[in-house]
Amino acid sequence: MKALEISNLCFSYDGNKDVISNLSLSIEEGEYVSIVGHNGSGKSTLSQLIIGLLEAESGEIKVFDKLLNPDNVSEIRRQSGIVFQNPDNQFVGSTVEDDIAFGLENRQIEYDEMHELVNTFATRVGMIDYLKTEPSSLSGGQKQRVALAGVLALKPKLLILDEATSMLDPRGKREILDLVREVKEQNGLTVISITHDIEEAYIADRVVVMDHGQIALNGAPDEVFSNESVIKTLKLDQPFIYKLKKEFSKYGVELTSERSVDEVVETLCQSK
Amino acid sequence: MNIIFGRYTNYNSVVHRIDARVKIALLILLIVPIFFRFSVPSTSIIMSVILLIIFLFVIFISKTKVRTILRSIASMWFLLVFLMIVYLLVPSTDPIMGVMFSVGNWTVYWDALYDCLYIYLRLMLIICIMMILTSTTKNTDLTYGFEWYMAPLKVVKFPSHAIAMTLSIALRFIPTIIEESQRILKAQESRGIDFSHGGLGKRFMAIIALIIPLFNSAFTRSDELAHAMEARGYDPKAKRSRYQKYPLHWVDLYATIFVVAVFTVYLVLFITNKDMSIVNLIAGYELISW
Repeated sequence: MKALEISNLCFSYDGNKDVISNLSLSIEEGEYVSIVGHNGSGKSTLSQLIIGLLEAESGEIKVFDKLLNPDNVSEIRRQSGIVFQNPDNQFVGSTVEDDIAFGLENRQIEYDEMHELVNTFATRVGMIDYLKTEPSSLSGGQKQRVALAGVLALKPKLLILDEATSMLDPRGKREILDLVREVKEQNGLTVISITHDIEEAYIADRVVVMDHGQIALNGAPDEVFSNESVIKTLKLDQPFIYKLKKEFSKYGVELTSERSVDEVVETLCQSK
Repeated sequence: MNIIFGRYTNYNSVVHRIDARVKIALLILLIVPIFFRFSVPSTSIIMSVILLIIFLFVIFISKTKVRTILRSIASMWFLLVFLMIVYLLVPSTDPIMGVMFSVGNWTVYWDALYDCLYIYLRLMLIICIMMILTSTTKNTDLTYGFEWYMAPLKVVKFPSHAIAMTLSIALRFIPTIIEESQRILKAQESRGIDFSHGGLGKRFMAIIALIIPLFNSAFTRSDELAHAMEARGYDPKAKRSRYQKYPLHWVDLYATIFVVAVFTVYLVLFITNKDMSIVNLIAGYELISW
């Protein structure tokens, strides 16, 4: 089944300059897709269109074979969750547990089940010791983990990360990404990660490069980043691991599926 | 920054455990005796001091920091001085005490000083009450308390839930906005804006450089928060379940008995006071002296 199918989507904020112009994209269930692009390429707008926070001018969006329209927007939101960029601006509750429970309260989950879910997902993201803590005494990474728990507790099938790690330090960033990957593998979640961090994009199954509201490149990470001319004109960088692999290939060492330094080291040690 | 809103302190005292709804009602019941004014000045003062002792006792068992109360009183020094000046300048209409001093035509009676000190005392009592409420009750519980009291208004389609949600978000964002304002303050200072020197006009202009970016960011925040809430399925009109439960405990009953007892004693003393009848209670002090 397709998790997301976008066809001929157009959108503009002011009515004349298209932010998204005639965009088509389809994502399979269980895929991890990164959408990259510089500021103003329309990547965040796309995420808000998918979840129905903005309304498209033309074209259609199907989430799990359901057409997005005012009638079933709430149905689609039930199946999808989104984590936004700013950790402070999505913390609704006054404590960690209240915030995780916020979405559950909206769905009218019963008291006992709700407490169980809050505990489960707080443990999952490693925030169980902070249940009664107020957001002002949490770090950005911790707040973002709470936001993730709040979204995961609703058991979405599609998770959108809208630059969710861009305000975090490297450690917070890695924690969130590891967590997402773990949950994805366990629950078969479909993940769309919108980012302008090339390194972060590289760990996905597929990379979509956006430019001026259109798709410039779309394919497996190595394939996309090997298209040097387009990458350069879009003023994007190549990921470190990709460059590393390319350097190794000059010496006749072929690395293929490695996504991190550790994996590269492991392959090298085994190959001797 | 926090004058009346004391920050919640996370202790598990008896006062903390009292249900928010009960606490609101009881504290209102304790505010009433503050306004009882007895015809004999010394009685008023003594009764207020006794009340203050009771409040200090509650503050003591609730582990609220007395320092924060003193600090919030100190932060009102301007108001206190202003009050004193007004009381001394405005001639007493019906002096019952002696003359303190007189300069030419202008006479200041001891009444003025007494009235002023009495106001100080009442002010302090009210601050104590507010401190007890805000430092021993979580924001969520407090908003739940208010929502509970607003619930009957739902009959006339009053959006009590939406108001409670707004209130809880406002309280949740106070520390965030304060942090933000300090950041903007430093950023603007580093660009050469002087917030602490210069005349009133100059300072006012400096404040604008703080206010505008602050508002700007607050609007961005509210927009993003609205999106985040909507994405997580919030609908102000829909029914929601509740994560917190608020059962009543024995401590609520004991607290009620204690407060009602204090209140009754004050009410009885007030009504049976020789120069005051229940009619005068409603009519007010001025009418009686007239």
